[in-house]
Amino acid sequence: MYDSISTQQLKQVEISAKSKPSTSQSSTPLQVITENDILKQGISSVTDAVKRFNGVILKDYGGIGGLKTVSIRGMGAEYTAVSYDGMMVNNLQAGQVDIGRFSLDNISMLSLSIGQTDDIFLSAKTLSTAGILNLQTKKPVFTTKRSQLYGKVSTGSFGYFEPMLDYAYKVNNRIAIGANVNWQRADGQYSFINKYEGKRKRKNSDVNIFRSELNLYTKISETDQLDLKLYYFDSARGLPGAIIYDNEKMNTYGYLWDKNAFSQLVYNKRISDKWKFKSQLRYDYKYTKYDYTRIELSRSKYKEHEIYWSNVLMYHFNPKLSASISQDLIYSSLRSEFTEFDSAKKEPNRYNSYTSLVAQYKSDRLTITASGLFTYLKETSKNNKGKNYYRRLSPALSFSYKPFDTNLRFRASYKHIYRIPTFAELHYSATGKDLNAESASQYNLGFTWVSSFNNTPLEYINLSVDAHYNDIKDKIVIQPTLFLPLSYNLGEAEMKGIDTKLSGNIRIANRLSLDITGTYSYLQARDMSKETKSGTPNSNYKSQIPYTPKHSGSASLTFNNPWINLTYAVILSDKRYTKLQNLKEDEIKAYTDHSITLFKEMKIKDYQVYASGSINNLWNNNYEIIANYPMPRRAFRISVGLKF
Amino acid sequence: MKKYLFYIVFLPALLCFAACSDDNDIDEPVVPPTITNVTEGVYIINEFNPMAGELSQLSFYNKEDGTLAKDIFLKQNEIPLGVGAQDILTYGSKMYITVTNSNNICITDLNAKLLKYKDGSVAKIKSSEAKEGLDAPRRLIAHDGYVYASYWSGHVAKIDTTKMEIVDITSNSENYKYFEEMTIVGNKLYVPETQDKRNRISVINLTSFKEEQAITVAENPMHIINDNSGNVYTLSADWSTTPYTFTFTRIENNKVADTQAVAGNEIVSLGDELVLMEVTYGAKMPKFSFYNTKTKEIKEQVFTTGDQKLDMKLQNAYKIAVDPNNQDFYIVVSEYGSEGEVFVFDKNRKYKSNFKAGGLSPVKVHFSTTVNSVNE
Repeated sequence: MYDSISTQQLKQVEISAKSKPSTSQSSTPLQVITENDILKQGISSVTDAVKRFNGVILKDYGGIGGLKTVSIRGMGAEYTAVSYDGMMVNNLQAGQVDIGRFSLDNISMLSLSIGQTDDIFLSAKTLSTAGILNLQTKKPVFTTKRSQLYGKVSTGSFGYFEPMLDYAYKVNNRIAIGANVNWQRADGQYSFINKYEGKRKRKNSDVNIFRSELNLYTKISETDQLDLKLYYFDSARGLPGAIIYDNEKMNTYGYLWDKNAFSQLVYNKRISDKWKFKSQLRYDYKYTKYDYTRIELSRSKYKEHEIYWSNVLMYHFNPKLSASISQDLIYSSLRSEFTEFDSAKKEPNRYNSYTSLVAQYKSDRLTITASGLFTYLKETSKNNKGKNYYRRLSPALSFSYKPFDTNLRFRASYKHIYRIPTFAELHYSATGKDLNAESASQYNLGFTWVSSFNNTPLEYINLSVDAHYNDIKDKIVIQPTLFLPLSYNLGEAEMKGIDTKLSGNIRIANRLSLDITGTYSYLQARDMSKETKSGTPNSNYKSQIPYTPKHSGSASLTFNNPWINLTYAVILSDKRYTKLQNLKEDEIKAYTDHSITLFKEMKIKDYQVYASGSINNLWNNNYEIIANYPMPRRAFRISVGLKF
Repeated sequence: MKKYLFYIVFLPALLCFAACSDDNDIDEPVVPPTITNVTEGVYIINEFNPMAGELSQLSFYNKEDGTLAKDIFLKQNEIPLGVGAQDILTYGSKMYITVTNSNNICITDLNAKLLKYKDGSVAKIKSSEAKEGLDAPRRLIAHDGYVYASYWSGHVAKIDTTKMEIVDITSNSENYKYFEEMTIVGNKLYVPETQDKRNRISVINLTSFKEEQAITVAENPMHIINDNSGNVYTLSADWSTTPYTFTFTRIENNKVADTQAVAGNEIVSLGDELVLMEVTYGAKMPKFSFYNTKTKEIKEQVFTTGDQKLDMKLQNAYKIAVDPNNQDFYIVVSEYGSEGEVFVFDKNRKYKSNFKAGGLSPVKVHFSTTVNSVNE
């Protein structure tokens, strides 16, 4: 029986290795977590996966339902794009995507690329951000059977329960369908220790999320492929808000209802050996309803519509030189209803165009990618005042070079990012004058080194070190005022740091090995605005930006063996400040979060069985990522999966 | 998104409600006219950001030696003041502090040390324990042996100053009315409903402790004040215009006597005058207008420190206050993300000094009075 497991495992590794892009050859930092890593390391959510990435800062408001956003190298979550099967997920209103909404159950690969990716067959908009968190769903691969069924049930602390069903069916040699249904619920009531009050309980953090998707894969011909995805998401979540001293009932009223439906049509055509074409069309609808205060009084509703059409054409001049041109057209609108201050709403419509031209030279030793992205945006809104269009050309350049025959590669890249203000910045705040887009520059310089060592227990080692420098000009500052918050371009921010990652495999004996991974990041993210809005010198000049730790890292150790796999993982973060003042009293303490996972994979008759158990926050640490939003303490989780 | 929304929708609402001037119409306890009061120092409530759960701090500025003691409530009591502290009132030998989000009223001695009930527990009037539905204390006013507190839930509570307990609460069968500032003329207490688009001033008879009538004024009355000659004034805001516009309403004999457009989102009383301050974001300096309650004339006045750099800071004027003992005029400045500052002008509007507030969002300054000398 054990033999069959290891062959099965090997197969899986091969499969995932095939689709997995090479992180060491990439000319910009790329990190990948595969389905196999997710299973073996007991990664429980997209958030949990992102925590293990290097060079990102996760803002986590705690619990399952709390907002979770990713910011790359301290640049702010608005600079991070999230793509789901190649199409960007948008949040028109706030410009930052809550990654807590995605399930890991149907994800085959999760990757984070910082800067320009080496993949040039992408929609133009993917070039517009500082980095992309890419979620790739599983595509069914049929071998002998016509249908596949995968069921999984997870349960754990705080009333957590999550069943998932995934079904794939091969209609004929050309058509296959896949369906995935997932339901997640939790009471989310966990205890935490408050400095002045002792033990308290987090309340109003219940979660009820339903996700479903239907995929239709059609192979029209040997050269033509048409895929359709229908997606529906429906959630109801408590919004616990900040912990309020001396008042357990406060912030137990907020609630969020969130619906999202989209349909996505992707057409791929290989015109000839030299020409490739891809067209994508998506319609996306989002409905959000918030209840804020103690009573129904403060309710707001938002409806977002988006039509996104993307075309990309790629041409191979020769095996080494290729180029692509891509055009994205996006129409989006936001409608809102407020029980209070309804007169403040603006009803904006946005017409967006992204055009990109990318050229790439790729040989064994050298990769050079150069691109230009032209962004154009026009906006109309009720009572529109001030600036209503934005346009800019943003260049990017990256290269990776292998000077010797060893697997040592140097890489360098530059990218310009033009961040157009979000609807919130433009329309739910008062702008003294025209609000300009933020202009950011991103530089990266580093190397990767991969080596295997014969006749030593060290099977391989993979090291990457990157130094980076980023600066944001015309930074939009949102300042709460008397009535509507005021937003203006004033700030300048600068981030510099180093990201390092080391991973390796140590062979102990036959079928006994250790996987080790360690990451460390140093980040100096500072406010470089010389003056405040009133023209006085900025007293916070060169202060560390709130919620950016100077030192952070993660480590994990997996013990592979024929009996039961074991992973021990830890996340570390230095102290952070809640305010730009950087006063001692505004400090949030450094923390570590340890977890342990046991994983077992078996084959019983024709079924494949997966079982895992994890303990998160093993040492029961009481910590916060965001001040007054305590994180859960020790928690258990068990999952069982069955594949037919 | 959630945090963002606080800024987009809820925080502005809160800020709007919080944007109230100081109650300078507090009827001080009856003091024999032979005593001269001197302000020994200034208490400052630094609210910080209550939506983020940040604890408010009380700081004390000693006028004599110019020193600032930060977060003295915590130092005195070893427990924090709470989240969303708003108003502070001295009456007799006690101080009362409303703490909105923590939902209680702290009662302390004049040095901010919490008093104790007979059973040894600290003197905090917890809304949830006082009455079902009573929520979010905001402003305080004293009259005739009692302290009155307004609540967002649409209630006014009458506090017995000896028992340190609520003895009566007005009824409210409707939704929250977001009561804020109050003013008292005769035995009537006037309190505006500050919920968006409301235009009612509730008039409460202090004898029956019931709403006697309601006066309709311009929408969104944010402030209420009286002029010691029986007139009540409200200041309403229209947020739908750019820039915002403000309406000043004079109420005489419980009827609207006249209304006029003014430049002002803050108001305090200074002798026979009412001082209005308008902060227009993006404009250079706040505008000050003096309304003469006798002649009913409005005159604009410029406050300047004489130093261009210091004047720049006044662009972020947030609150105004008047020292009842010497008519010094205080402009409280709050620049987003930095410690607040207080600018002091004498009664001839001449710049005197400035000092740090000790924290973020200084929402209230309160003058600590000592009896200095007795004039024989």
